[in-house]
Amino acid sequence: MQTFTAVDLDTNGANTTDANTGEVVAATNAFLAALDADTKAKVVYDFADNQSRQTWSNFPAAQVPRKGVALSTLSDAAKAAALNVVKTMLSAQGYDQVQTIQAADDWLNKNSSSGTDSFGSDTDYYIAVYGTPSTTDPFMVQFGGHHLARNYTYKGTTASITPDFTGTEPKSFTVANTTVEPLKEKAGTLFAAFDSLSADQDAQAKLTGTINDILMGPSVDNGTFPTTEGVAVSSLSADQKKLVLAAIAAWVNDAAPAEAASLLKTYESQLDQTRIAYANTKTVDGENTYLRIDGPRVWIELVNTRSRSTPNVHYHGVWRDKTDDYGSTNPSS
Amino acid sequence: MACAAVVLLGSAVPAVAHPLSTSAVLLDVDRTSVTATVELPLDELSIAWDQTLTATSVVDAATSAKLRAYVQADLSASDASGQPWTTVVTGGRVEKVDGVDNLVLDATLTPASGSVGDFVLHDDAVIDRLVSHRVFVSGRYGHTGPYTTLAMLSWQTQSVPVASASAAAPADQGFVPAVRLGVHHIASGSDHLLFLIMLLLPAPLLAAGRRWRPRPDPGWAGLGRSSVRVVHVVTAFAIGHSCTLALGALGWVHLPARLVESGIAFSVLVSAVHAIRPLVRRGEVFIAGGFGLLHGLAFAAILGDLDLSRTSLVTTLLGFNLGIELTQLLVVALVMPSLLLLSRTPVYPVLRVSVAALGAVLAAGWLAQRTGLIPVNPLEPVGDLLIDHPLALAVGLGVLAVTLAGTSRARTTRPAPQLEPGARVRLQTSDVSS
Repeated sequence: MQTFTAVDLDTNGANTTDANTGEVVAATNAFLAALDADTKAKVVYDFADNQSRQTWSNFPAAQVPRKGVALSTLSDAAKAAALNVVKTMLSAQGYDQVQTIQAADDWLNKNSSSGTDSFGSDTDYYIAVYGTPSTTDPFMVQFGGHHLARNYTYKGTTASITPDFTGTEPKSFTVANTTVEPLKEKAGTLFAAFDSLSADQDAQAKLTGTINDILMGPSVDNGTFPTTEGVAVSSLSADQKKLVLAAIAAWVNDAAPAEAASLLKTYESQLDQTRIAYANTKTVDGENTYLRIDGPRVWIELVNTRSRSTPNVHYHGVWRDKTDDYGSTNPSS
Repeated sequence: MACAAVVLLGSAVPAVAHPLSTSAVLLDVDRTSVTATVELPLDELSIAWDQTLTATSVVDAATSAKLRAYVQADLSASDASGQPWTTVVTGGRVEKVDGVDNLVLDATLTPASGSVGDFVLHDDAVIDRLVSHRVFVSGRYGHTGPYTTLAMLSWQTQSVPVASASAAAPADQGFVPAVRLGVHHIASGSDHLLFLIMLLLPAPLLAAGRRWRPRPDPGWAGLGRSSVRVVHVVTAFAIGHSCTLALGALGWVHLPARLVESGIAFSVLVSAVHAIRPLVRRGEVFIAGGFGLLHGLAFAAILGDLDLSRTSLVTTLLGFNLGIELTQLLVVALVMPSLLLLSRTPVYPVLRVSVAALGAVLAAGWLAQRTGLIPVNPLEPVGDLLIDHPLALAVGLGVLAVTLAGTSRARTTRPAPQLEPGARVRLQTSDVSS
């Protein structure tokens, strides 16, 4: 069950500089050129179609239908072109993240106990293009599926990279005798930051109330974020600050390198106005373990949640930018 | 305001992969109070209370009392002026929603003013303990039809404005909705339908002493007489229930609901027995008219629940009754041709007695249940079949009738009846006047 709160999105978001817009335009045009007219009509949306732009979810596509077309419906050439668009928008790390999350969905397809086989790296992942790819005018590429949402909005040489959802179920699994842990980097750096807290810092970081899923999830797009709480990064040691920055970087560095570096520099400059908080527990496989980074712009949540597909807790993670989701300024303002 | 609208999608899909269950508050908005069905998923409730709540443990006396008090404190309403209402929470049963056990509580919200105007509903049950929890609030007017989703409450907002019934009146009241309500009520009331069917069963036959026998006049003449009998039955039932529907809706006649409901069960039983062996000559007409009076009182109770003003009452009354009559005629149209055909076949006595016996047992079950002898009617699913699959049953009956009539006609070599238009008129006239 999912609701969509339609909001007025503008194109005046804070954005990050140094976007590889030209490369993305070329890759997207190559993808669109590989499609027949019917498929292209399903892939391309008006840039002003806000509700479609806001359609992403932590649910599989069988529960929350995605916009655009599934990879499984594309020809081999078109599918390769689609994945090349994603590869171009992201860094090597970011594209690897996409592939490991897709691998988790393939694993679920074979092993889920929930009686559904709708999961899968091809059937459950969709691509849509909003507006006309351009190095001057805004357009957006949306790629995602179960446990993944990449919403990249370009405007000239700047870009918005959020909302960005990553999750995985299960947390760890084996493919051809190799262990795969899709969110290892993001979770590992985040837990390292929280593990470094002293008892006093820990007490400041602990939230009251239990949280068993991300609060700024799909459809929570009206620009209202939870009240800022937690321990101030400004009160942490230099080493601890590095750990917090590394955790933020684990999310940001999924984007193409130049724009990621630019945005990370901005977030780093705001570290002293940033807080970190957790709810319930901060153990890796704890029930309802919930970790949060909350800055003037950056917002990151990671939570252990549950499903009927596997017996263990699994990750939902989201990264948002308070003044730049969908390339728009705070929608509530 | 940037917030434009809330669009709902895919609400009926069970959450297979991520069953992060939501609570639901289902509001029935009346004139003097608002009742709310509160559904709390046990998985989320367990996390909120940090204790394992099972379908059994959640309804033990202490736990359900604790949770009633909790919801009573967290669920509230207030007038436009901010005046708080009173909340009373009762009940405590477990129902499955989307495959998840839910604790279901009943709340009544009452304004101090005594009259429900536009109000604001506030609910932070579960959310105050489990921040990521969500509550779907939906509402309806007149106690019928589907609920409309009003809001999803979350950590962002725990309040939703709700319009009073009068604000919704144009869509909810008036002639056409009343017709619809009438259709809906009789079409979903297996007892009313069964009563009618029991009365139609012997309509193609003649009572001879204590036995039913086929009409001696085959062909169109008999058909005409049978049809006239059906018209008598339907008219008698219509007159009977229309009288008491009007009297009851106007508040001039009132009987306890339990008595009326038991009486209706009894009427089905009587009509079923009559279909097996005639109780009185032309009994089906008297039974239809007499017991129709009781059925009318039950219809009136439905209108009473709507709490209508006098001005809208007449319109609603007429519309509601029209809905009932239309549905009744539809039942006759669906069933009677098949019965007429079947009554010409040798199997009709067996069929009639079997159907009537089933009706009698079902009616006896209702009677026992409604008089408090048994908690549930074990045959209720049979009655539900009637309202859930009316067309399939009617079509099945039709196929049976055509098949049997075809085979019995093939066996007999009786010539087709000779038609004399004049004779038809004469026969009909004599039948009506007798």
